[in-house]
Amino acid sequence: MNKFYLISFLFVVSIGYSQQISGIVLDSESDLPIPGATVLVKGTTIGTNTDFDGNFFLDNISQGDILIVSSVGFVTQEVVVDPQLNYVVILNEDVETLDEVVVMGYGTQLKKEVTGAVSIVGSETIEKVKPTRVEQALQGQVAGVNITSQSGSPGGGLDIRIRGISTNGDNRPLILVDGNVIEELSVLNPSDIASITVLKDASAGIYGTRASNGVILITTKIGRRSTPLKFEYNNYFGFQETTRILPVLNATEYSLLTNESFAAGGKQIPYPTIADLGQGTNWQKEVFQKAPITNHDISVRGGGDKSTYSIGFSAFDQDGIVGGDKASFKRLTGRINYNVELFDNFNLKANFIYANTQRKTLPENSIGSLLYNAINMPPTLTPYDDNGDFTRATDLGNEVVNPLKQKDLSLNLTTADRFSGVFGLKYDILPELNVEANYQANYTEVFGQYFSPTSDYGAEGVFGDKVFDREDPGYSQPLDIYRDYTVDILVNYEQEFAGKHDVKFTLGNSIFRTFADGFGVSAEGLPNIDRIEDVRLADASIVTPRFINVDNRFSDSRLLSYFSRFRYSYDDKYYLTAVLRRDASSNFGPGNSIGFFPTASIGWILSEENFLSNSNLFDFLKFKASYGFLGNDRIGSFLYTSTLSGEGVYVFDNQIVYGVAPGSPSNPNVKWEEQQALNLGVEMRLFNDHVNLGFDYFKRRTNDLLLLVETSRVVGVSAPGSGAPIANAGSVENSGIEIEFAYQDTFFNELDFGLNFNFSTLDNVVTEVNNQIGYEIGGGFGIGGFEGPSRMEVGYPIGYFYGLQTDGIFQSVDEVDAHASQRSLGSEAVPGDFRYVNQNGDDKIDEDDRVYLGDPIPDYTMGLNISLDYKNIDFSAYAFASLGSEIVRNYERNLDLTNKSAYKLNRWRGIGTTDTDPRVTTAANSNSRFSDYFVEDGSYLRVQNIQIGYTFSDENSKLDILRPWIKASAESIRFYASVGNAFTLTNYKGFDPTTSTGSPVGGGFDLGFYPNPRTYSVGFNIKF
Amino acid sequence: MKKFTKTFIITFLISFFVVACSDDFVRVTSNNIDTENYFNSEEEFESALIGAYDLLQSTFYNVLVGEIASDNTLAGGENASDGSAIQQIDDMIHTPVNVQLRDIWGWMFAGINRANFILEFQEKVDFENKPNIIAQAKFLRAYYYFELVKWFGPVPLVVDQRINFGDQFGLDRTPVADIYSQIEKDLAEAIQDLPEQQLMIGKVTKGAAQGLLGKVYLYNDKFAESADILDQLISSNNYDLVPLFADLFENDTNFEFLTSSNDDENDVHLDSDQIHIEDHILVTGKDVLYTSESPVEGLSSGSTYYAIVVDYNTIKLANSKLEAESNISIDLTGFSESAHSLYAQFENSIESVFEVQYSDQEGGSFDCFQCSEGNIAVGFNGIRKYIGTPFGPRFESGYSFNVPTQEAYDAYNAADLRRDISILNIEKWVAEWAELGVSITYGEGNEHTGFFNRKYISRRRDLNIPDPNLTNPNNYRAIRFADVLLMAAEAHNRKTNPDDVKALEYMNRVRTRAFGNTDYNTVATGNTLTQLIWNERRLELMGEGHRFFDLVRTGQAANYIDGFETGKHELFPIPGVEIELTGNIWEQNPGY
Repeated sequence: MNKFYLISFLFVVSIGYSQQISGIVLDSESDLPIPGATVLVKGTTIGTNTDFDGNFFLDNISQGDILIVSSVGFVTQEVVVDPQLNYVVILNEDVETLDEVVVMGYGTQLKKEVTGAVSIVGSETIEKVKPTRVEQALQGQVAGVNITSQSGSPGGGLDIRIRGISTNGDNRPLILVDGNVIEELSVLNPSDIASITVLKDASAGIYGTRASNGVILITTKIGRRSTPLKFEYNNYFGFQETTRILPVLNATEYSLLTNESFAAGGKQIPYPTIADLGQGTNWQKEVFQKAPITNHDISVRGGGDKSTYSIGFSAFDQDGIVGGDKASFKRLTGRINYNVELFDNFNLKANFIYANTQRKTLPENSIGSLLYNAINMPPTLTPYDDNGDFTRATDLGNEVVNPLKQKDLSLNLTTADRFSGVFGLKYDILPELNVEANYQANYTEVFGQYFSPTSDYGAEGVFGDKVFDREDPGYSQPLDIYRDYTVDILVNYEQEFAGKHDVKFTLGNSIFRTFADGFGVSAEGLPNIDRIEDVRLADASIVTPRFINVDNRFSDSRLLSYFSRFRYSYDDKYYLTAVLRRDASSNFGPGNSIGFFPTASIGWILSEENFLSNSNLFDFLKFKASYGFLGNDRIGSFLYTSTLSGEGVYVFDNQIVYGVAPGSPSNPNVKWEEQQALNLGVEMRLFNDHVNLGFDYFKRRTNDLLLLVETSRVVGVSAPGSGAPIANAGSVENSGIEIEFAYQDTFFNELDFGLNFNFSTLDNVVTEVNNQIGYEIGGGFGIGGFEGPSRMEVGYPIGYFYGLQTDGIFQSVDEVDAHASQRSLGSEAVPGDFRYVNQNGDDKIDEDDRVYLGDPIPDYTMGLNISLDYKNIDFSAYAFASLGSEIVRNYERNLDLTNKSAYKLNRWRGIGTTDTDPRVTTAANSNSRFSDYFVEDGSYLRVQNIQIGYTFSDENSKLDILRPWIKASAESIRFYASVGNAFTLTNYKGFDPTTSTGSPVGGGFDLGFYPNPRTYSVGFNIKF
Repeated sequence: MKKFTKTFIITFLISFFVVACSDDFVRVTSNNIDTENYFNSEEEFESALIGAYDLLQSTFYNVLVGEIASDNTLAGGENASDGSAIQQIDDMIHTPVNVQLRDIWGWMFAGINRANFILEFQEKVDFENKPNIIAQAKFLRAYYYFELVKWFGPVPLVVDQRINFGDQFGLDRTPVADIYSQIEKDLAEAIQDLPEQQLMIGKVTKGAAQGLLGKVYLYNDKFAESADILDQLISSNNYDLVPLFADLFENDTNFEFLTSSNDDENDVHLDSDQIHIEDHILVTGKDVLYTSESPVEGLSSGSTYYAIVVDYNTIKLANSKLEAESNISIDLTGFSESAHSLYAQFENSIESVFEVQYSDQEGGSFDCFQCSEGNIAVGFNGIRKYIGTPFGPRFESGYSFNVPTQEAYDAYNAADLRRDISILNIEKWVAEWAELGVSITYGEGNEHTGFFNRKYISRRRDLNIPDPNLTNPNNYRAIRFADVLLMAAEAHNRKTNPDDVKALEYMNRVRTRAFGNTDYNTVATGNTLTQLIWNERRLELMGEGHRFFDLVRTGQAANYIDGFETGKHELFPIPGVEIELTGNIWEQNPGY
C-alpha cells in the first residue's frame, strides 16, 4: 500500500489538456490519501469528492480555472488548473490556524469567529511535552492558566486555576472529556487527547452555575471516514532523579552547633568529642533514589464508508524518587471511539474509556513525612545500627523518625477503576436543523488498602514516644463508589440569509446527577506483611464494617439546566453571541436553587474591513469583548439543611455506644455564588501569518462567595463530626492581562522555526469577607504557635501570609530593654533573638503585631516554547516562569537535637556577628514564631522540557536504513531523547517552588514537598 | 416510513427528557436524617442523648489545663514552647488568643447545643422513660454551663433551643447569677426525675445531680443549701469511700491471660495454680473480677476473687479476702484453652458519684481531639520516654505535661497513703524496681520535677491503638464521694449556723482512709477547720483539676499561684475571636 502511494507521489499524475483532469489528494503529515475531500471549481457548482484512494476526476475544466480543495480538519487549498502541473494536492492538517475548529461548549466554532477568551492546546503540544498527567500539558502553555502540583510523587495531583482563585472552597474548573464530566484527570492517557480548550471568560457561561472557575473541554482522538487503518505505537522509558538536595549541616557542624545551643541553654553539651564525626549521614541522599519511568501506548484509527473508529491502549509505570516502588503509580487505559451513520443523516457516537490506576503512597508534605525527616534527622545517626536494624530516633520530638524505616513500613495502595461512556445520537432533520441527544456516564470505584504494621520508631519497646508508633497492626480498606450521569438534549439551527446574515441558534436541556457511596472495613489483629498485596482480611481477628455518616450514601448532587445560545454574524466581520442558561441545583435549598446566567460577547474582524484589507501589516485583526454572569454551586450536598451527620459516641457499660448528633451547622440561605466576568481582547496575525499575537484584559468579580466561614463556636462548629458552615460571605476580584505570541517561519527551505510565548498577570484582591471578623484563617506553621498564619482578608490577596515582622537581631541588652517586651510570645528576649516590629505601638509584642508578609499568588506567569525542525531532526524546548509569589519554609523542626539547615552556620554569636539569623539555644525563645524570616521569594524559572528527535521515514528514504531490524512496513519511525524538568532557577531554599497544597487559604507552607523529579528519557514512535 | 420512524424516535427522546425534567429532579433529600424530623421514639431520644454525653469526654482539657493553672503542677511538655498556650496559662501570662481556651469554650457550647437539641423537642412524643432522659439532658446542660461559668464567667445562656448558625449574633452575655439560677433549676428538676441507679454504668444518676448541685451551691456560698443536698446524697447510702485509696485510680490489674503457658508474647500466663503477671504489684486480699468464656475449672466467670501475692509478678487466687490473707488458694490446674481476664473494679466504684467514661477501643487522632473516646489528658500527663528492661512496669510513655511540683509533693504528711498514689516520685519508683531487677529509664521533659500526676498517667495497655497517648481509657472521676464529703464538711462548717460536728465527721472519714487509721483525725473547728478542709481538698483531689477553681472561689488564689493577679485571673479571657464572631458586642473579662 505505502509503496503504491509513494509511486503515486513520485510519478506525476499526467493529464492532457483535454477537458478532463484527474488527481490525488494527500495528507501532508502521513502522505496518506484523503478520501471524501471536496474538489470544487471556484465560482461554479462543478465539483466532486475524492474516492477511497484519494483520487478525483473532473470533466469540463478549462485552463485557468481554480480548484478549491477542502476537507474537514485540513487547510483549504486553491489550485490553478494548468495542464503542465501535476495535481497532487497536498493538504496540511489544520493546526494552529484560524480556520481551526474550536470545541466550545455544546458544539464547535471556527477559531476566527470566537469572541471569548479561549485557549487551545493541540495534540502536537502534548506529544512534545510528554506529560505524565494531562494537567502538565497546560502548565505554562496557556496564558491565564496556572498549574501547581500538590506533590511531585507519582500520581500526585495537580491544581488547575484559571484566571486566579476566588474562594477558600472549591476553585477547580469544570472539566469535560468529550462532553463527559471527568474531574480526576489522572485516569486519562495524555496521548489520547486531540485537543484541550480552555474557556476563561464569559464564554464559559453556557455552563451556567458550574462555570465560574472556568471550563476545560478535552476531546479525545477520533478516526476519519474512509481511511485505511492507521497504527501508531509510542514508547518511552527513562529514569528520574531529584533536582535538589538541601544543604544541611554535616555531622561535625551539627555537633558544634548543637553543643553551642546546649551550652547557651545551660545544659550539658551532648557531643564532648567532635574530632571523629566527619561528614556523617546525609539522610537526603539515603532517601532519594533514581527511579524508572516507562510508557507504552498503541492506537489504531481509521474509518469505513459510514463510520470512524479510534482505539487506544496504554500502560504507564512510574516509581518515585523517594520511596521507589513504595511511591509508585501505574496506569492502564483502554479507549474506543466509534461513530457511525446509522441511517442517512442519523449518526451515533459511542466513546468508552476504561482506566485502572494503582497508586502507592508514602507520608509526604506533612510534619513527620519522609523528606521532613530526612531534613531533620541528625547526621550523627547512621541509617542502620550495628545489628543491621534501622536506627532508632530518640529525643527528636514526637514526629522525627528514621525515614528509611518509615519507607519500609509504609504499605498503602489505592486502586481506582473508572469506566466512562458517552453515547450520542444526532439527526440532521434538515441541512440547517439538527437535534442531538447525548448520554454520558462515569462509574468509579476507589479501593483503598492501608496497612499500619507494628512500628516502633523511638525508644525500643516504647510505643507512643513517636506519633507513628503502633504496637499492633491495623488495616483499613475503604471502598468508595462514585457515579454520575449527564443527559444533554440539543437542537441546533443554522441559516444564512441574503448571503451575509448568518444565524445559529442552539436550544438545550441538560440534567446531571452525581452521587457517591462509601463502604469499607477496618481490621485489627493481622500479622505483619511486607507487601500490601499480601494482606488478607481473613487473617484479622477483629473486622469492623465502616460506613460513612451512618448511612453509606454521602453525596447526591443534581443539576437541571436549560440553555439557549444565539449567534449572529454579518458579512464575516461582525459577530455576536448571546447565551442564557437557567440552572436548578440540588445543593441549595428550595428558595435558592434556581439561577439565571446571561452572557454576551461581540467580535469585530477589522481586517475584513476595506480600510485594512490592503494592509501590509495585518493579515488578520480582531477585537472581541465579552461580559456575563457565571455561577458556582461547588459545595457539598445538603449543606442547606441540617442533618444528623455529626458524631455522637460515648461509653456506657465499658462499651462504646453510638448515638446521633447534628453535623455542621446548616445554612438554609446558601445560594450559588455569582461572578461577573469581563474580557476585552485583540487577536492579530502579522507578517504574512508568521506572527500570531493575542492580547486580553480580564476582570472577574465574584460575589456571594461560597465560603466555609469562620463562625462562633457557640453554634457547635467544633463538636465531633461538625465543621464550619457554608455561607455566601465574601467577594474577590481577579484581574489581569494575558498576552499570547506565536512566531512561525521556515528558513533556508528546510529549517522550521516556531516560538510561542505567553505572559499573564494576576491581581487578586479580596473585597469582602462577611463573617464579622473580616477574615478567614487557614494553614499552620510549625507546631503550636499562632492560629491562622494564612488569611483571606479584605484588601489583601486570598491566602496571604500573616505573621510577625522581624527587624534584625538584638545585639545587646540595651537594645532589648529599649524595645517593647516580647514575653507574650513565650519568653523575654535576650541578645541574639529576633527583634519583632511593634506594629501597633503598644508596650508589648504579641499576636496583635502580625502583618502581611507576602502571598502565594504569583504576580506574573509566563511560558515559552521553542521548536526547530531541520530535515529529519527536530528539537523543542519549553520553559515557564512564575514571579512574585512567596512560599513559607516550614520543613525545619528546630528542636534541640534535630538537624538544621546549613545557613544556620551564620547564626548570631555575639555583638555584630549577624543581623539576620538568631542565636542557637535550647533555652526558651520566641525565634520560631511565624515571621518574615520563614517567608521566601517563591519566584522561579523552570526549563520543563528539552527534546531532540530524529525521524526515519519513507518520505526521506531514511527508513530503509532500519529495514533490517524492522520487518513490518513501517511508514515512519521517530527516535527521541528528552529531559523533563531540566533545571530551575530560583532563590527558594526548599526542594521545589512549584508545589503547593493547593489550598487557597493555607497553601504555600512547605513541609518538605515531594519535589517534581528531573526525568531523562528516550523513546520512539512508529507509524504504520 | 423510515423517515417517520426516525423523526418519531427523536421527538420521543426529546419530549421524554424535557418533560421528565421539571425542577423536581433537583429536590433530593439526604440519606442522613433531618434534624427537625427526629425524636419520634424512645430510641431516638436515647441516640441523641449519647450525642450530648459525647462532649463530656472533651472535658479532658478542663481537667488538664485547670490543674496546670493551679499551684499543684507545672506545664511541662517537651520544651518551653511545647503547647505554648498551656505554658502561658501555667505562667499566668495567657491572653485572649489561646488555642486550649477556645477549645474548652467551643466544646462546652457544643455539649450545651446537643443537650438543648433534645430539650427543644422534649414535648414531641411521650413514653414512660422520658422524664429520665430529659433529666439526663438537663444535668448535662448544667454540667457544661457550670464549666463555662467557672472558666469564663458570664456567657450567653440559651435554654431549650439550639443556637443555630445565624443566631450567634446579638447574643448577650448572661450575668453569672442568672446562669447559676438556671443550673440550679436544671439540677433540681433532674434530681426529681433521675433514678438512684441507672441500667447502664456511666449514666447520670440522682446522686450525680445532687453532688453537682451541692458543688454549685458551694461555688455560690449557699452553704446551707449545699449541706442540705449533700447530706441527702450521703444519707442515701448509695455511695461510700473505697476502703483503700490505692484502689481508686490504678486500674492496673486489668489483664488477659491465655492458658497456653510459657507464651512470652503475653504479659500474663497461667502456670499451674499461679498467674504470672509481668509488671504487677497487687496487695494480697485485693478483689479482682474474673471473666472468661470457658472458665478455668474452679473459677466461675463474673465472680470476684481475691489476690494472693506470691512475688512481684505472680499471684494466686482465693475465694475470699480472709482466705487470701490466710494463703488459701484455689487450685487452677486443669484449665481450658481460652482467654481469661481479671480486673479490679477501680472504675465506677462505690465512690463514684459521677464519672466521665472513656474507652481505649477506638483510635484517636491529633486532628480531632474531641473525636477521641479516650482520655487525652492521660497521655499528655504520661512519663516521657518511659522504658524498662526487661519490661517497663505498669506505665507507658507520655508527653510529661502537668508535672506536680516539689511543694505539692511535700504538702503531704509522709504517712499519708495518698501521696504516692497521687504523685509518682519517679526516682523512688525506679529505685524500687531496680531492687527487683528491672531497670527503668525515662526522659526529662521541660520543667522536669521528678514527679508525675499518677492518678492520670498512661498505663501499660495493649488496646489503646493506634496512638497510646490519645486513647487511654482512664475514666475521669468527676465527682467522687470523698469530694462530696469534703464539700459537705465545708458547707456545714461555713453555713450561717455551722455544724462542725458533722463537718468533722465527714472530714475525718476522708482522713481516716487517707492514713489507714484514725491517728491523724482532726478536732479543729471554725476557721481553722475551714482551712484544714481546704487543704484536705487539695491533698485528696490532687491532680483532678479542682484546685484552681477552689482557690478562686475561696479567694486565696493570689496567695498560692505565682503571677495570679486578683481582679483578673479569677476568670479566663473569652477567646478574642469569639467576641468578634458574635458581633463584637461583649466586653472582654476584666484585665485582658
